[in-house]
Amino acid sequence: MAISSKAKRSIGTPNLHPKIMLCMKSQDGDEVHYRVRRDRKIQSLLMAYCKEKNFEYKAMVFVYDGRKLPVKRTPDEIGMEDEDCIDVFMHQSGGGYLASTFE
Amino acid sequence: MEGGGERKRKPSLGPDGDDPLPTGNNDAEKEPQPVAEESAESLKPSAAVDGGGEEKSPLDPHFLLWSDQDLREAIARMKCTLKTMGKNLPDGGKKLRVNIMRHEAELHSRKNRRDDDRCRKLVQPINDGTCTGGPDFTRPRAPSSVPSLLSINSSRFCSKLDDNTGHWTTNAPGKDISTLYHCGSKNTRVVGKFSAPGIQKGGLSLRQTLFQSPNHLSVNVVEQSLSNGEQKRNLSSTPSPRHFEEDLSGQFTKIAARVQPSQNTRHGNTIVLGDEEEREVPKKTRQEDQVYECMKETKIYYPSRDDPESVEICYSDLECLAPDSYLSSAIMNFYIRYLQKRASSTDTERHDYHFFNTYFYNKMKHDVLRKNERETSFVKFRRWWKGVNIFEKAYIFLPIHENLHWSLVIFCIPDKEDESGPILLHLDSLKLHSSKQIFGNIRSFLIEEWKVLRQGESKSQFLIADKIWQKLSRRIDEKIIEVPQQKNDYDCGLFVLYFMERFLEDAPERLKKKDLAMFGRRWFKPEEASSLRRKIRNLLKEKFKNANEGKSVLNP
Repeated sequence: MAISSKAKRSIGTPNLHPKIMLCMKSQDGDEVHYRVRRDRKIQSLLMAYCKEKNFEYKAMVFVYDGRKLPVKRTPDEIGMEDEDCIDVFMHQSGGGYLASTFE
Repeated sequence: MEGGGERKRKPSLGPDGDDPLPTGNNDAEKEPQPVAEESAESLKPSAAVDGGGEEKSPLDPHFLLWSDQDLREAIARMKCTLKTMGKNLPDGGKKLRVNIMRHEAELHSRKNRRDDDRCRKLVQPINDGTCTGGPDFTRPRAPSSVPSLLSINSSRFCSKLDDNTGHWTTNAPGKDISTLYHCGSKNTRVVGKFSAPGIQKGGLSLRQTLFQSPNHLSVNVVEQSLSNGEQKRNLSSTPSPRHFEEDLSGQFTKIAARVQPSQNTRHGNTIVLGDEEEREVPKKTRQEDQVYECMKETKIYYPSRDDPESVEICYSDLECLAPDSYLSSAIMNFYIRYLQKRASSTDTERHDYHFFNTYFYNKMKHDVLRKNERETSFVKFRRWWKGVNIFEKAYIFLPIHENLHWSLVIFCIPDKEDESGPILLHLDSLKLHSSKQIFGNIRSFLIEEWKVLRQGESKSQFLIADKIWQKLSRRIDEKIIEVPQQKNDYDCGLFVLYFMERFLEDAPERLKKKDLAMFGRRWFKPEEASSLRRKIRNLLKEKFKNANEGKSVLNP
């Protein structure tokens, strides 16, 4: 849809904007690499990633170098480097659910 | 996710080239519908003023034919859809949410229309256009800048007024008056927008005639509303018939079709109202549910937004602090950060503690320890604790999340005199996690880190005796600590946080082996840990309140 058309358009102007290679690492061991613009909010990448992986964006936590990724910032603002990884976690919650099966 | 994606994929060039979902596009996608529609709507009244007479194009035709029940069902249905699959939609369910808001707004305004009886309406002209709003109400606004939350905001605004809560009631304790305020502000707004001097006068005279009509039968009413349209054009004033017709549409649902134009105008005005209310509403309400609705998407950053290690908490994260709910990582990390800040303020010189967040252990387990290319990924992993020498700390807190359960590992480096290696303590309020496995993972992590450090830096700075440091890999002790046990199946997160809190208070500067006696099943009462739920909740509510007062943030 809108995404693909936009992506196509950008092929025509490849070197206009500096890009960065980022790796999305989910906890199932899967790694997906993306090349994104350095001056675009990282959120768009995350949303596209979730769409591709069929994750619920809101249920995910994106961690970069141990800190929650500021999704409204750009890779440049965050100070990301080429080949950097973003860890994708699911929101954790816990209370001791399995207790009943143990006792 | 842990079970989600079995399919292995080669690292691929994902959405090639540009941003996969470019921001500009994204933003446009967020609220395309409302902006487009509402700007069109808000233009309609002015078209009427110009004599265009285009006011008949219906705004939401289906609403007119819908009963309240229909509306309610539709809202429920959409909410359900949003909940189940909204996140998978290309726009993240934004459109759906906007739709829900519009339906709710319609429902609200219907309710309001019914509630407003005629007596109140009669008093309107007195207040109309003269008072109330304050300067900002008369400020004209460009229709294009209309945000999306308008309709819901305005309806919220209305109901708020009717409920006699919030800022407005300080001046207007009576229900009647509050309604006046609401209507009055609407009108003034329109006045300001059109800035036509004749409006008030025309509006008044119109209204005078109109006020008789609700007593008439519906046939008359239809005629009235038609002639209103004409008068409207002549006088270039929209507001007055609007009220009348608004009233009618509530009372005589049968002539709903006729009243359509009035809804148009009403919506147009609502937009002007909402435009400014967006920023004002959150400040003025104090009623909890309304605040909740407003703040649901509000985020705060603790300790501050600029802090590199700040944690982000969304107001909806507070939901997990409801009784019997499982604690989420957002809350866990907030309170961990809170404890960390408190601890570092008491010992400013030597930061003897280190706190890992809740994701650390999973990252360590999944990513670092299993990999073949362990060395390279460990170099990257080390950025998680950049600038921190783990072996210089007295205590390192490591929350563990596995199988919907929280537990805590504290990594202690005992007093140098104790001649003991590092000790790993596992505190589990249900003894649910496999201590052995956890110890194993952390041990290999520590050894990995130890290897890196041993290669590089000089050992003099370490607070571990040389003798032990050289053979550290064999000197790590493990202790499963007896701790108070939770008596339910939902408080383990609180126990972990309370373990930390109490440990920070009770533990000596450097642990000695004999100090381990301070733990035990009677370290504290389980209720103390459970009461942390309320404490954290209040703490966060306070923070949200402050954040909202400082600058009312609305992140729709």
